[in-house]
Amino acid sequence: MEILKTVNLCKNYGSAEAKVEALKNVNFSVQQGEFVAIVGASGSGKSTLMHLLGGVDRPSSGQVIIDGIDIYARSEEELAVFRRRKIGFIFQSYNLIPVLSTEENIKLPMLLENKRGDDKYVLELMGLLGLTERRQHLPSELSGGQQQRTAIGRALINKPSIILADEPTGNLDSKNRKEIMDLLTFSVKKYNQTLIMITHDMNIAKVADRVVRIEDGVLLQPNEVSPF
Amino acid sequence: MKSYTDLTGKYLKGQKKRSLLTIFGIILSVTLLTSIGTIGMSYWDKSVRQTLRDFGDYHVSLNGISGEAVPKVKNNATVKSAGVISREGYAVIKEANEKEKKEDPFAAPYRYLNVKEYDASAMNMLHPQLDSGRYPENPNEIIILSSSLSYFSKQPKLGETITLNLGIRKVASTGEDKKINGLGDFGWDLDETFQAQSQKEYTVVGFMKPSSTGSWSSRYIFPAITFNDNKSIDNNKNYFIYVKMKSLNDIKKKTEDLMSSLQLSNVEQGSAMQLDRESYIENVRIEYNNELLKLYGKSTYEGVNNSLTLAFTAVITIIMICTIAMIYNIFHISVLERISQFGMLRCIGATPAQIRKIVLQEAALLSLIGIPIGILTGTLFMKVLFYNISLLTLGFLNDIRMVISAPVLITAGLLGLLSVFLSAIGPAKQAARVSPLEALKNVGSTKVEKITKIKKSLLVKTLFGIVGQFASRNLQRNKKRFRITAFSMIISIILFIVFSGLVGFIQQTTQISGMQYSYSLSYNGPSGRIDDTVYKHIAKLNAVEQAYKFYNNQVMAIIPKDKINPKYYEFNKNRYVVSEGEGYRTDNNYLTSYGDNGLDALKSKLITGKIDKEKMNQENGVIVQQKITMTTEEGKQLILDQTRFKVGDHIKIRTFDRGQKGYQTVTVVGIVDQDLLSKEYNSSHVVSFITTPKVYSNIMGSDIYSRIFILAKPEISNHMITDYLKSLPEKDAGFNYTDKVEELAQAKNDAKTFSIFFYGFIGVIVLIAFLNIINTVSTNLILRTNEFATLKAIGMTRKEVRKMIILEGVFYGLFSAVIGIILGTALDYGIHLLFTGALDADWVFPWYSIGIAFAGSMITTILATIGPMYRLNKVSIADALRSVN
Repeated sequence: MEILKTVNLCKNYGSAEAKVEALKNVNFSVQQGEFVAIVGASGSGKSTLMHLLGGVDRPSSGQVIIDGIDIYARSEEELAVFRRRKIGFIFQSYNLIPVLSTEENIKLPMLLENKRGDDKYVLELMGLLGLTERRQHLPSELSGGQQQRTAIGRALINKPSIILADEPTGNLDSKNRKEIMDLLTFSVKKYNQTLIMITHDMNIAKVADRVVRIEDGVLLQPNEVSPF
Repeated sequence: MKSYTDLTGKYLKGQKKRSLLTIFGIILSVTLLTSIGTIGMSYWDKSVRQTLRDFGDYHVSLNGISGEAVPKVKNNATVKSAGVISREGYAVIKEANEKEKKEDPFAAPYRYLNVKEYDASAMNMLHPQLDSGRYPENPNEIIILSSSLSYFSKQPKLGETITLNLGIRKVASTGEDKKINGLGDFGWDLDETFQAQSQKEYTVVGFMKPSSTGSWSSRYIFPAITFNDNKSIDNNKNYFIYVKMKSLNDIKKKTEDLMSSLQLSNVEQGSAMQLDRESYIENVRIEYNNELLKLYGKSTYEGVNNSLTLAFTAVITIIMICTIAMIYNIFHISVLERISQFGMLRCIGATPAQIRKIVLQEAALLSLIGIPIGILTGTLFMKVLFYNISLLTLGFLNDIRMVISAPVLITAGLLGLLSVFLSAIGPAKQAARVSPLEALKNVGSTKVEKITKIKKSLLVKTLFGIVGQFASRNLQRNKKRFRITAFSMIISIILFIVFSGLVGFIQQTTQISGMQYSYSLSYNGPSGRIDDTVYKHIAKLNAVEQAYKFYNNQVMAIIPKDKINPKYYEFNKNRYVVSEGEGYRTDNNYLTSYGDNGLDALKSKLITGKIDKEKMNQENGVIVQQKITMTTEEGKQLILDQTRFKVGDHIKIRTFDRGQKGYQTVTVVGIVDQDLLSKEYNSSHVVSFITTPKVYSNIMGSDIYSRIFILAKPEISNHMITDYLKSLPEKDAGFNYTDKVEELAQAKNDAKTFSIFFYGFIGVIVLIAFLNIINTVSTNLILRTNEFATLKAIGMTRKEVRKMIILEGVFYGLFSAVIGIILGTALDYGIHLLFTGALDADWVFPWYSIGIAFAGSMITTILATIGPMYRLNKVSIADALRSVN
């Protein structure tokens, strides 16, 4: 089942002569439960694509359709609600909220929903992430791996259908890198989630169901991918 | 770049907005200091001029000094200059003829000139105000009060010669010199005679203005001044010496030393009254010109000096603290933002001292721009204000002129510089402490504080939800900055409450306490009574709203033991010591009547009971006023009933005059808490019985009244009333009237002027706080741009983000309001206590200002948050995320 689709997606920065085309007519679709790795050189448009898929930026033209809904036809408010229900973000530099504890950071999207929340699920998730002992700690008191696990917890808490991860292991050592990847793959399998991940790490890309490559804002289809 | 210190300028240019904000803060502060200094100097200058005019240009007067002692005083080492005055004697200018005596048996037998000799110094010190002519320059010249002219049989003109028979007043029945009593020249005896002693010719060279406080000046004895060349000091005569000391330090001790060197120790001391005091002069040997000494901070009453100095210092300190809070904040933030840059500098070998120097130099540079502008704007601001004052001719300031004083401007500048330096020193040290490592950790980016401890508040969570909890925690990120920002707001609130209190306080003290009426006419002549024709004439004048005859006399009353309020008894046991019958005999009671129309007006003030004049006349009915306000020894203000009389109670009262009637029983028909013409509780320990004129005369055995209170219609010109009131003393010197119309209007104007100043200053202080909050909030928000982007990315709606940011502002407001209101109210009370040394007024709980302060604080903080919030909400999530990832 197709969960995400882009139609002629374009993103330009600047105007007239200074115009930079960050994405050019990207047409791309992802099936539910699929793990897609996006690779490309720095400045190729990976992050722009990721932001557009996640609904945090606005395209210059084209559409992003998730679960049959054209997300950019929605209002800003609706889009925010859509994001917290359907999409889980994971960033390279974790972006945890420094004033909230581990548990609170994880629960935040749920709390934004004004839901009392499923405490059992929260506990289960923290157990899975190995954060039970650290639940009361502030981000500044956590190691990098723990911080990223917290961020993953936050991305998973509302059981979103799509997880967008922007180099989630970029700041981690190899041991932590492996742990995080195991967690992510385990989670998407368990909850039948779709994972779209930007990465430089070829070992990770190999684990993906599919690898797409971006060069100068143009998405190269799998058959165009040069063998690594 | 020639030197590393050139970095300073580059940094300042690099953050133009922040530099401008700092300069603006400095300008505001120096403006405020300059304005306060200028207004202070101008007001001081005005007060000095007014005091010199009203009280004279001397420090202390020595009264009744013998002739031989005069040179000793003049030559004393501590004395700078001395003016000498002596009495020449009285001179009759009009004698009542037989016809007049027949018409009015109590008519004053004589009208006098009271001739005094002034030497040149005395003339300069007391400078009598002239209507026309000049001061006398030799002993044959005289100036007389212009209002005495009408009593001369032939009115003298300028340059004409008059012959005066100078002599003394004698009481015929005893043959003794007439003693000048407390009322002095106001009193006369019907059997008074005049004994001429010498005759002298004078050339009239000038006419004096009646005194400015005219209402109580005598119509019986008029001043006349001639010149004393000091060649003939008479050893047998008494002199009044007006002394200016070389130095005002320890003036009291110096004066006492001087007196004891004249073998005149242990003499009575007092404060000088206004210049037209005349008769009071002889009762006291040493009179300090305390009104003038006060202005030099040398009043012989320590309490007054301390109160004024403290109040002034407090205002200046508060302004400085506010400025420091703001400028510190700006520097603190700007240093925080450049931590990595300072680290970099450290990496390449800058010493901590050099870094400190860079920051301090920034402060110096900003001061260099801000302070001169501040001095200029402060002066300009005052110019505009003074121009407006002269336009509005507001109250007590209408005589004020702007004094631009170099010391004030320099002091304002220096205080401004000191504030800036004190603000910058902390951040400069902080910058110097940055380790080189910081540069490597946060290259090129601003550093968000490391948070390790956060308080959780369940209350905030339940009240405002998750977003509220967020907001409250965000404030805890940098507690120091939060406190400093809140501090500036708190100071504004404190200032507002305290200044509002002061304005109210000044309104209270400038308001005429006690009775409120337009005019009061009283009679002090020998008959002691005002004729009914006078009352009737006044009552039918068009401009008179109401006129009340005022019958008033002290009575003894027996207060039954069970009618004494036990609480009052605890404080004033000594009032109830003489047992008589079933109670105590007390003498601090008054039987009063405002006439029949007064009782009608009193109906609106009645707490219980009923006013029925017929019934009152039948049963000796009285209305009791027993509520008073008092201060306990601990300084606590109490409002309580002295007695617990109820309607229907009977009280035995009698006049003091034993020849008159004995005890009579009166019946309580009603209770009032305040007197007819008063808007406050009685502050003297008096129980008043208000009744009808008939009951009054029943009990007192007399229906004499010697005072009339007049309420004028505000819309009609009062000149009919004043003309009539002025004409009365001319016919009968026993009449005096008080005009409170101007006094009331003046008091209102004074209060208004004070309000303009005070609220103007508060306005500026609030502006400083407002800028401070905008600056802090926007910095706080901008430092967290990335965090907001994350929040939005994970699904926080724009509305929720807005709510969170606004709540942060609300919490600032709430926190500041609560602390500010508590401290402000406490300080308001403290200042009230402080001022009781100089002035006396009630303390009122400042509900009104608290309300305004609370609302103002919330609105200000919310407004300060809105700007940065919109700017932040415009930032695209993707951009913010990209800047980090």
